[in-house]
Amino acid sequence: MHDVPEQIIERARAGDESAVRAIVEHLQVPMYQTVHRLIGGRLANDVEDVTQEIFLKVFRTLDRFDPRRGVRFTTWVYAYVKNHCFDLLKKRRLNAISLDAEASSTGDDMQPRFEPEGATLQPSDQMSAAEIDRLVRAAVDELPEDQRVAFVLREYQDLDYREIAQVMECSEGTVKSRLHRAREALRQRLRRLKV
Amino acid sequence: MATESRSPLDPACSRASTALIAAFPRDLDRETLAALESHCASCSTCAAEFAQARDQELLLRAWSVPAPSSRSTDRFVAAIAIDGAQRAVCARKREALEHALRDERFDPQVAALRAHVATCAHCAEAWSTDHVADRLLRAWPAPTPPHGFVDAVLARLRVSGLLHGAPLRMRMAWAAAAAILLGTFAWLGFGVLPAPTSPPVAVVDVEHAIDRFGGDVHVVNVMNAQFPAGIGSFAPTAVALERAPSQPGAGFHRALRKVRRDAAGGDQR
Repeated sequence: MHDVPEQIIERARAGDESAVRAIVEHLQVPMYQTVHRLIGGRLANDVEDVTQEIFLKVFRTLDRFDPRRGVRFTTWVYAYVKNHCFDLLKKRRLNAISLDAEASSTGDDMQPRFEPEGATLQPSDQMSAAEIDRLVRAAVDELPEDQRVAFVLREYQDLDYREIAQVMECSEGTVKSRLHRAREALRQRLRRLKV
Repeated sequence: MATESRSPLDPACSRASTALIAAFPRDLDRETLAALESHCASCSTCAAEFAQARDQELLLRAWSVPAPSSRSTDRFVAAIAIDGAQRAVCARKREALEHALRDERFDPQVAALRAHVATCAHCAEAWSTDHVADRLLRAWPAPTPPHGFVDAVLARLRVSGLLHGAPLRMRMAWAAAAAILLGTFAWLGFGVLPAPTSPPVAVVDVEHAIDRFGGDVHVVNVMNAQFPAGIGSFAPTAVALERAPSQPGAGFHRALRKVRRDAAGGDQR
């Protein structure tokens, strides 16, 4: 995805609505879909609201973006997406634990566990989108957050290792390692369904 | 080989010849060897063949091969143990190939890695299964934002005061220019336009509306609002409505209610 031109960002900083609209239109789909993939399993009804809140945060702090630091604008925005989504999940997790300590025996996220071994689902090329969503969503939601972010940004937003490292504030080697572990974990889980 | 005493149709000779072709004498079973020796006692040709086979056998068995060196032995032992380690190596090779393919970079090692995955039975099976899983992951659908999403974001930005129709400095410059122009007219006493006798409530309210709704409210509207009894007489909320988006969202209505409350409460910012 090509980046937002600097002059548009400058005009948006000044409050120019047309520039702001251009940025929102450019980023709405990738941001919405990334939020959906990161938290849609647990907070499906909040995806739209969460995405709007992230946009608000971005424009409130637009003055902090400095292209001279070598970070693309879209990469800078994805850092907000990651932080906001996981802060929200952490908050909901803590609320869930404090409100109902008996709900989860492991104290883990309140999400349905993955399909047990021996499930008899057999995929075919005619799998419906809903079925694919259910299978992949269940597998992705079980990933640790750092692996999930790396995987979603790499596979679905085509960020390269350097950009993901900037979003996650780690080294490229760490990104590769997380990606590899994420893929192995996902393949194992999908293999259990005889995929 | 002399064949005078051999009859090509002699079954005994045929059997003897077959036996000697198939195996060395030492490898023949007792029965066959006994029959062969018995036949050779009366058949010089087969006896000669038998003797020749024995000599060849002895020669080949006498061929000595040096014992493997300790390094070779170590390699053999390592090769036997490699099965467990090979799995880890295979996994690393597959991982390296994956990264190389995903990076789409030209790497001379890619060909070697591909060849390994294609020829290693373990890797080939794992690679094939992984591809099926990868296809499923790539096919994971994601919804697009609902209709009106962009307008909803912009409405929230406006309510937060993060959005202006024109840059703030420009608006202030226009307001200052308008004030200077009005002051000049009043001083010159043209009498065309009555000077405002009260604080510019209308101007402030229109500015207030501009902040809330952005858009393209022109400066002339600001000037007209200075003279409610004159050229243009309209309430600030009516101005906002004229300039509102064609399908205002929830943010617009919330902001509109606030403007009305402010105007009713005399909030002049």
